[in-house]
Order: sequence, then C-alpha cells, then structure tokens
Amino acid sequence: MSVGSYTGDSSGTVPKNPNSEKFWRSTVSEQAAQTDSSKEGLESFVYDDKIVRMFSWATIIWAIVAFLVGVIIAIQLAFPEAGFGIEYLSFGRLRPLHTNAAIFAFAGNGVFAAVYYSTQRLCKCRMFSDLLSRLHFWGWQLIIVSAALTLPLGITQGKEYAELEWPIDLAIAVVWLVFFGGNFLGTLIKRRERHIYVALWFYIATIVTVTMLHVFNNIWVPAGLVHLIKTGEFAGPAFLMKSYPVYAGVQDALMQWWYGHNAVAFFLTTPFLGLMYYFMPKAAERPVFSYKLSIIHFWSLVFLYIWAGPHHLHYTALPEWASTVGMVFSIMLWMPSWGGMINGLLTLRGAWDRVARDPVLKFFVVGVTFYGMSTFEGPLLSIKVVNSLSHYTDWTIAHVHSGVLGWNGFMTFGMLYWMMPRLFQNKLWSTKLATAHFWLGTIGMVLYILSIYTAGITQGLMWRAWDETGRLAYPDFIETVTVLIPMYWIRVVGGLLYMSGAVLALYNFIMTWKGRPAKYEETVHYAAPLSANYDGDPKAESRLTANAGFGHKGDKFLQGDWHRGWERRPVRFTFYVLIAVVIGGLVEAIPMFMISSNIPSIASVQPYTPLELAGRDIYISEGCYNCHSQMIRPFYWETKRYGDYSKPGEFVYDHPFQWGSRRIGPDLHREGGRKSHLWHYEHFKNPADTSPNSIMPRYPWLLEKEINFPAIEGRVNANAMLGVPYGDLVLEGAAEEHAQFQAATIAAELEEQGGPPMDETMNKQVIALIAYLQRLGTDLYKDAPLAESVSEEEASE
Amino acid sequence: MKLTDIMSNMNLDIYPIVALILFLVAFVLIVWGVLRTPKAFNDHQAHLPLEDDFGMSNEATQDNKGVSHG
Repeated sequence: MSVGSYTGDSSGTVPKNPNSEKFWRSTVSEQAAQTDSSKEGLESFVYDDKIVRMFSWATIIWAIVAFLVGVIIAIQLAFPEAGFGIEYLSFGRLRPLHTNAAIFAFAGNGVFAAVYYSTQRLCKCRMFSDLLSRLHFWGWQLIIVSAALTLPLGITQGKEYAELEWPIDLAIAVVWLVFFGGNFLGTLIKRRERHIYVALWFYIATIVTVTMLHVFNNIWVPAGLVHLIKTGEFAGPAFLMKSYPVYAGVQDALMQWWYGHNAVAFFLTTPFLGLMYYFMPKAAERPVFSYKLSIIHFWSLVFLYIWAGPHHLHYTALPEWASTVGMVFSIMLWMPSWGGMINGLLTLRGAWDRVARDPVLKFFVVGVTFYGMSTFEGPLLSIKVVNSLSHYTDWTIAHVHSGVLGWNGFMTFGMLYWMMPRLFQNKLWSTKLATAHFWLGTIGMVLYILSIYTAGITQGLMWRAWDETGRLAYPDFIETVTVLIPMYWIRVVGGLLYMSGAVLALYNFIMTWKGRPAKYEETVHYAAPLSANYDGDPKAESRLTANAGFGHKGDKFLQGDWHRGWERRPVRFTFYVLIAVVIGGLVEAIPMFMISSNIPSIASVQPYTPLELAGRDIYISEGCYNCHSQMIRPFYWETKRYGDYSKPGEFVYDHPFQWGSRRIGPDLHREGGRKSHLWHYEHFKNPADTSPNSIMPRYPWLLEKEINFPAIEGRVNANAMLGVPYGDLVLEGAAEEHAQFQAATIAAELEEQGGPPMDETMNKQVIALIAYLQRLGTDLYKDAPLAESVSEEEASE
Repeated sequence: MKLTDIMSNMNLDIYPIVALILFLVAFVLIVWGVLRTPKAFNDHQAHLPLEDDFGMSNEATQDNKGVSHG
C-alpha cells in the first residue's frame, strides 16, 4: 500500500473573505497539508477501482458486439439475403438489438465506468456500498443479456429504444434507481469534499431524469401475466412477456418521443458531459476553461432539453402547438450546447501541442467536436421546413451516428485509454495501436456519415419530386431505394473500419492488462470528514446604506451565494433538478392527456378485430416499424403517394402507436385494401417476387408458424382493460372463435385468388398479419356504426 | 363531467407561455448567481479534478514505441 493525497475540510476556523483564494483553498488541500504530519482527525480510505475495471471491460466488449450487429444489419440493407431467411437474423429484430446494445450496453457501461471512477475521487471517499456496486454491475449485464436474447426472439414492446418487455423494464428500474442511484446518492452524502463538482451535477441529472423517463414511458398492462392469473392458462413464454402500454396513438407517440429524445439528452449527453468535465481536465492537466460556463451549460440543458421531444413528430397527427414548443426549445439548445463544446475545447488551451502525440486528447478533441456538430444539427433538424425533408430519411440515421460514434464513442474511448493504464497500473501496451484506432474510427465515421447524409437527402428529394403535370417523378418507392445501395455499401465499409478500431482497443487493453502487477497496489488516501459544525460559506452582506429591509434582502440575493449553498447540498440539489425536468415534461403532457379536443374522435374508427390485433402484435414482434412508417404527413407528395393524410383520431386504439421514424420501405397507413391477400402472401414469402429489387427480407417463417389462438383472448382482454370497447368479445372463448372465423375467411379468399389451399394457411401467422395490413387506414372511409341506443327501426328511418 | 371536460373548458393556451416565463426567470437568476460567484471559489472548484488523486502522469502512461514525448 502507498499513501496518497491528504485532504481535509474546514472546521470553521477559516478566513471569512470569499474573494480570498486562501478561504477556498483552506477548505481542502492547503489546510489538510497543515495537518499532514500527524494525520490527526483524518480518515483513511481506498478507492474501489475493481468496479471501474469491471465496467471498463464490459464497455469495450459490448462495444464490439453493438458494432458487429450494426455491421450485420448494414450489410442486410445493401444485400438482403444476408439474413438467410432466418427469423432471428432479420433486420426488424436485429436493429433494436443494435440500438439497445450501442446505447445501453456500450455507452451505458462507459458511463458507469466514468461515474464510478470520478465520483469516488471527486467525493474523496469510496463508493457508498461495494455490494450495491456489484449488484449494479451484474444486474446491468443481466439486463443486456436478456435484451440480447429476447429481441431476436421478437419479444418487444415495439417502441424505439424502449423495446424491452415488462420484466426487463422492472429489472432496469431496480438496477438503475436502487442499486446505481442509491449507491451514488449514498456516496454523495458520505463525501469528504464539501462542494459538489459540476461533473457530479450532470450525473445527478442523468439518474433523476432517466428514472422519470423510464417509469412514465413504461406504464403497461402485462397481458400475458394478467391472462395467466385470470384464467390459469399458460399461452406460451412469449405471450407471458407481452404487454400493452396504457397510452394509445397520439398520446403514446408524445410519451414515446418525450422519452426517446430525452434518452438521448440524459443518457447520451449529460453523463458524457460529466465525463468531459472530469476527464478532459485530467488528460489536459489543466482545469476546465470556465467553471462559470459549465454551470450555465448545466442549468440550460436541464431547463431546455426536456421540452424538445415533440420535434420528432412534426407534421404528424400531433397538435401543432406541441410540435412548435418542441422546435423552439430545440433551437434554444444551440447556445448552451455550443457553450459547452467551446468550454471543452478551450480546456486544452496551452496543451494543443500534446494533441498531436497523445491519443487520449485526440479522441477527446474529435469527440467534443462531434458534440458540437451533432448539437448544431439536432436543432437544425427540428426546424419544421428542414424536418419536412429529413424526417423518415437516412439523414436522421446519419445524425444519430455522428452523435453516438463521434461524441459518445470517442469520449468513451478517450476515457478508456486514459483510465486503463491507471487501472492496470501499467503503461499502455501500444500508443501506436491507440493512434491507429483513432484514425480507423475517424475515417470510418466520415465514410459512414457522409454516405448516409447523401442517402438521406437523396431519399427526401426523390420522395417529394413531381413533374410539371403534378405526377410524382418517382412513383415507385423501389426507385428511391435502389439508388441508395452504393451509399449503403460505403456505410458497411465505414462501420467495419470503426469496429476494427474497437477490436484494436480490446487487444491493446488485454495486452496492457497482461502486464499488470501480481497484486494491484491500493493507495491509501486520507481526508477529514465533513465537519458537523461547518458554518457555511461566508454570508453575503448587504451593500446598501439606506435602512430598507427588503432592499437588503434583495441585495444579498443578487450576490448569488444561494447557488453556492445548493452546490453542497446533494439532496436539495437533486430535488431542484427533479422539479426542473418534471415541470418541463408536464407542460407538454398534461394538456395532451387532458384536453379531449386535441384528439378529435372519428365515429367510424373501430377497434381491431381479435385476429387483426394478433396480426398487429406479429407486426410489432417482427419490428416492421423499423422500416415502415404509419403516418402520412399533410404534404402533396405524401398524399399523392400514400393516400389521405393521417388523422389523430385514427390511432385511438393503437397500443402502442406504430408511426415509426424512418422509411426504408413505404408508409403503410393506408395499406388496407390496396393489394390482394395473395400479393401480401407472396410478398412475405419472397419480396423480390412481387417487388423486384426490394431490399425487404424474406419472412418464410410467417408461412409456417401457427397463430397463437389461445393467447388472443388475453390480448383482447388486456386491450379492453385499457378502454378499448370490445363488448361481448371479452366473454370466454368469443375472441378466439371470432379470430378463427376471420382467419378461415381470409384463407378462403387467398385460395380463391390463386393461393394455397385454405386448410394449409388458415392457422398460419401470415393470415393474421394480412388481416391487420388489410385493415390499416380503412376505417376513415367506412360508415360510422349505429349507436347502441338507436333501434334498428329508428336507424332505418 | 370528466376531468378531461374540465380541462378542455379551461383556456390553457397561455399555459406553455407561463411555464416558459417562469423558467426564463429561474434561468436568469441562476446565471446571475453564477456570474456573482467569487473567482477564487470557481478556481477552487475547477481544480477539483486535478487534486483528487496521486496517479500516473499522462506521459508516463504511454509506451515509448515510436512516440516522441517532446
């Protein structure tokens, strides 16, 4: 063991001039140094670096998994046969695995490594509980493994970045809030450094807000469990995990994108800013450029980010005012985001010469630059007229990847290259290899992003192009797909390069680890506990001479010492952050959920039949929303291509909504009745047969797997619990009987159209999916059903 | 009468504007408080990451293979 830093805290005998450097220094190191010789009154402690090593290993391993799955699905877009007709490898199932692995496994473990390393040092104490640290680590890895198993099996909620089903949701809540949040807050409370550094504020905002987002976006009815309890009938493991969100349609969309946008904000931005404010000064060996700017950066993000979610839903069935609020707040985010970026880059003042030879600084410089670029682009994309072009195109995909690969990825790799030698107590095995990683990653990103920007803008322009006669210039959607294939191949190359860099990093870390000492040296640190009789920072004195009580109070307030008070009270600070994010969220959510006029009802819109509901669940399970939208925007070129624009009242029974966020394939909202059953059947069998050059994968298993009829009653009952008016269909056996009858009808029609004999298809999943697709968007043109109170005679009159 | 009916009859058009003004006021106060913070305090805070550990220097963590440390 070696002896490390000695720090101590004021016990009230410090100079009282707040403008004196000695006052602030005497609260920590300098005063502690005075007691160095005796260590009297100091407490000893050792940092828990083992947990940091564990999270660091998990970070790099999951990074490679996430990138590998990303490369696989990128290849599938350029070469659809790469799915081999295997259901577990289909694009719709693997894409959520890629996004979840990149966000929650790679970036998540990176965040945890950063938090566990920096929090202990900034608080001058070991984590609150080693047990909670281990429970957090293993619990989180278990969640990731659960995701890796369930998503390819098609077990999903069908909401982007919130796909994991309810048992995993519960596990996330416990691991995140109890194990991680509890451990973190406990560490703050037992800290030995009076003031809380700004990096810790960002961690607090992350924990508080992600908890709130996760809980509110995952309020559901566990259909399978309810069915099991109610009837005692077990309808299969997949159905046991099935849930329906309590929100439907427009409300579900608002809630989902409030979650989705803020997951980016508070999972991929704020914790990485905490990481930046801690590790960049460490790597540059100089303090952050402007501490004041970092505080303004923090509060601006907390105030503004939470409002911006609706910009994901411009020109949809979301009310105009909600999307305008989302756009305005997104634009306001420009300033704090760029303030933070500039603060990060200027932290390197006087150290720029080291960037050329230090791979850590290389990663950080490019990472922060990508933060600036993606936070410039985000507000740009939120502007409605820009969004009308970019939405549903690959432009959004390029934007997301510049953020995750450039900002999150490079900040994480920079941090790992800085930490690993310290954690393994050995020099980095190869700086050359780290530099090679940097260049592979950078070139890979540039290839990826530029090609996909090109693809996105090409798509957007082709979709909206029409000729002088008012006809679409590219009426066949396939035309707008095949033109992108070269760009998709360039993306594959870019992704491979980026992944290769991560593989080099893993090799470098393994070799560095191999050279570790036989036993890690554990430095013993000493610091004084926080003094119980600390009398606070010097109080502001009124500078007014007139005898005006209110004026004195106002003058003291304006001197701003109240904010410094917040900074040493973690519970109060957490509470204020919570208030800021809760109010921002409620401002948008309450009117949406409460004002009935926001979602005008349409009398002809009726619940899905039991078979259509089962088909819809297959649509969700296969991840069709990853390629197809169900939202026709009120633009000429969209209504011309797809039909009448989508109305809010058409989605009132959609638990969950399936508007999607991109169109690798065409919109499906008015798909009902456009094509024959046989066309759909052949299309699922082999899309290229009905749509030459289609990049949609084959779905042969839908033609073989049987409909889970016993589960249909549970599906209908769960929706009925959520207010869907199913009437007598909730009676025992009624839903299943209805579904079987409709399935037989569709199978017979399919046979009439030249398809296989009906007894071969009537119980197959493809029939349920056809039932759902043939229903989509058709209610708008039907007659409204007669009210129950109106008798047949009255109706006939 | 349902809660949604009550809410529908309340004129909430001004609701986001009121919230925006409240947040703007809170934001201005925080910025003001930050700008009034003594320089010495900020300097101390900014140095916290640099004084928390006796670790390896950045130069010492890298190998010397083909790298000039100037």
